[in-house]
Amino acid sequence: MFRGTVDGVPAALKLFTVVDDPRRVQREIDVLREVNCASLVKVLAAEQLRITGTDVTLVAYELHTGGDLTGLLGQGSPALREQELAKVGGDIGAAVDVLWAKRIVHRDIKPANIVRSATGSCVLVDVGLARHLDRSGVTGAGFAVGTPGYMSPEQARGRRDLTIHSDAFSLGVTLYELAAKGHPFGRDQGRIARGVQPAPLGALRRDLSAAFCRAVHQMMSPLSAARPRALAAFFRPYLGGP
Amino acid sequence: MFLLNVGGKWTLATEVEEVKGAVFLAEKNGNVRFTRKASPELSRVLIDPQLYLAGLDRTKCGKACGRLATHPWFQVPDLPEFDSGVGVRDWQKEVERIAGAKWPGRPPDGAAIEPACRSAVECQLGFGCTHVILPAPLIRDREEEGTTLAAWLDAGLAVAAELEVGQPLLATVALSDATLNEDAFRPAGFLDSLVDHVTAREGLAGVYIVIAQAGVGVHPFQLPEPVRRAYLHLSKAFRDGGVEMIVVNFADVFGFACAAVGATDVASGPSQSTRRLNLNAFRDEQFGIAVPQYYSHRVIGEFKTETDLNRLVGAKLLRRVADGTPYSEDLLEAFREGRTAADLPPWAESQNNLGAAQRHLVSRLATEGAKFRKLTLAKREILVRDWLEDAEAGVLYLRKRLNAPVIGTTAPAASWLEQLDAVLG
Repeated sequence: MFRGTVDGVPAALKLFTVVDDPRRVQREIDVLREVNCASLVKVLAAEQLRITGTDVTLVAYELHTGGDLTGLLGQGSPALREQELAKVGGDIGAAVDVLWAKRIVHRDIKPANIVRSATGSCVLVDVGLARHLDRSGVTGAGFAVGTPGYMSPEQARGRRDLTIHSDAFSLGVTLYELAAKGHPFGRDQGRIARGVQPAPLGALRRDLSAAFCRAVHQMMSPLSAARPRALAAFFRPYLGGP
Repeated sequence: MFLLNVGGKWTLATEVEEVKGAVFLAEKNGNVRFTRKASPELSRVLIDPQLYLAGLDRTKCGKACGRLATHPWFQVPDLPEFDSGVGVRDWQKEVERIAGAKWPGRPPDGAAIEPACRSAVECQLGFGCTHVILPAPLIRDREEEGTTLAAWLDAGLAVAAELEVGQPLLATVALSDATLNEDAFRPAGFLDSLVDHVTAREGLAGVYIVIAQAGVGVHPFQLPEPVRRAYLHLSKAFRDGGVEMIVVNFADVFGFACAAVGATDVASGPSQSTRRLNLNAFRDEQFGIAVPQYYSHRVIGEFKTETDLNRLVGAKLLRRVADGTPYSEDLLEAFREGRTAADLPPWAESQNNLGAAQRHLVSRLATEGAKFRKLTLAKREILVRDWLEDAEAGVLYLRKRLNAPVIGTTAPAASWLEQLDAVLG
């Protein structure tokens, strides 16, 4: 990741190796540029390049300097209250909803991919492009792109055509981790695959309402269809706190 | 609720009072019937576009392809417009002739999906359907993970939004039994991916589940084990996913077992070809000789009206299978008076003398469906367990008393119960 500017606007620049049809990549970038959601990082520009014989895509994102949410996981930082957790869920849920309306699935929601904006809202970064780009991922059938411990069971199985339910799972893991300051599955994707249930969040955070804890667990349901579909609305009831 | 699969004859849907809903099958009804005939007044009227039959082989299933070709969603080129001056029969023959050469043998794809969805939705609206079934092709490849289904769902939903369809929308989930190996049932596996695609989309009120069998045709009671398991698995998974309306078709009376785990509507028909979906049954060389059989929901059995029932009467066991409906009272009365089905022309065991037996079957299933409709899921499960346990015990008793391994055609109720337990965990 580099820093730069696009038409004078500060930008975060990232180079991706193209591993899919470049026209499809371009279509997706075009879609992302059309999307207008405060909690979804904006794609300012993108360009297909050829560097030393390799096709790459240079993407310029809107720059956020507020830091990502991994800083909240340390034992030294104060635990987020219910309405703060719900705000994270609602903000990122809104971004996921907007992406899904365009039939795009992020596939890599985790604290490191959520940053704070200047207004304090959460913004989802690294949007959608993992699906087609990025040398770290293999997109062939049966191979998963994502971060172990955050991938839904179906994503980890290498399913290509995922739905919003998969991002809901990753967001649920993220919220649990932020609330409990511990990963629900010990970052072990194998535990997710085996359907192991995390420790009840309510037992770790007695200040959180039972309904909110149930909501977080519902997002991590092994059955994708049992997870919520409209994520922003899903967190709305908890924005007022317990 | 029970939905009657309606083929060429519409009379059962209107004459059997207990029937409150019907599914009109595209393969058995040319498109002209949907555009020219009024839909019957029922609380639920559906048309199944049966796009999942788009893969039929025109060289072996000429008649079926000819009927399907009349529906614009199959996109058979160069068909003449219907001309009332020509008459339906002659027009149908001409369509069949052209389909013999031009039937595509595969569903529309790419840009052709949208107009196919549009024509199917418009046809249903024009007919006055209470619910609209969005078409989808047959899923034959497990590795494809429902990607094609997703494309059809999105196209159908877009068309419905554009046409401002007010009726509840149902997603077709039609799969071949060839997809059903052990892996398909795993958590986050193939079947769950289909459920995922449907439940991830807004705007759908329900799902319409069809499983096509590619093997040798068997009696509807003898659904292969993986097919039964898949019907149960999908019914439960859709229920767990919060789907409001879950219609199970072509599972025959096994559909009521699915009601214990989530199915809300069970569709079946009066004949073999409307009770189960066997792809080989569409072949032109198929011909059937059927004799009337008396359906007993109590023991989940069918009994030839003379061969089997006379035997049961002789052993004073008729009351063990008697399952009265307004359409079979005359038969039971005849036996009580010492007469037999041979004395009653509508029940005589002669070829294709099926009218009374079909009315009885449909009436009995519709009555059962109405009973289910009023119950909670927990009470449905109790009802189904009682039904299956009683049926198993009833058949065992008949066999013991008659000292015969087989009497009539009965369902493997014990096996159904085991599968139900396995799905419920």
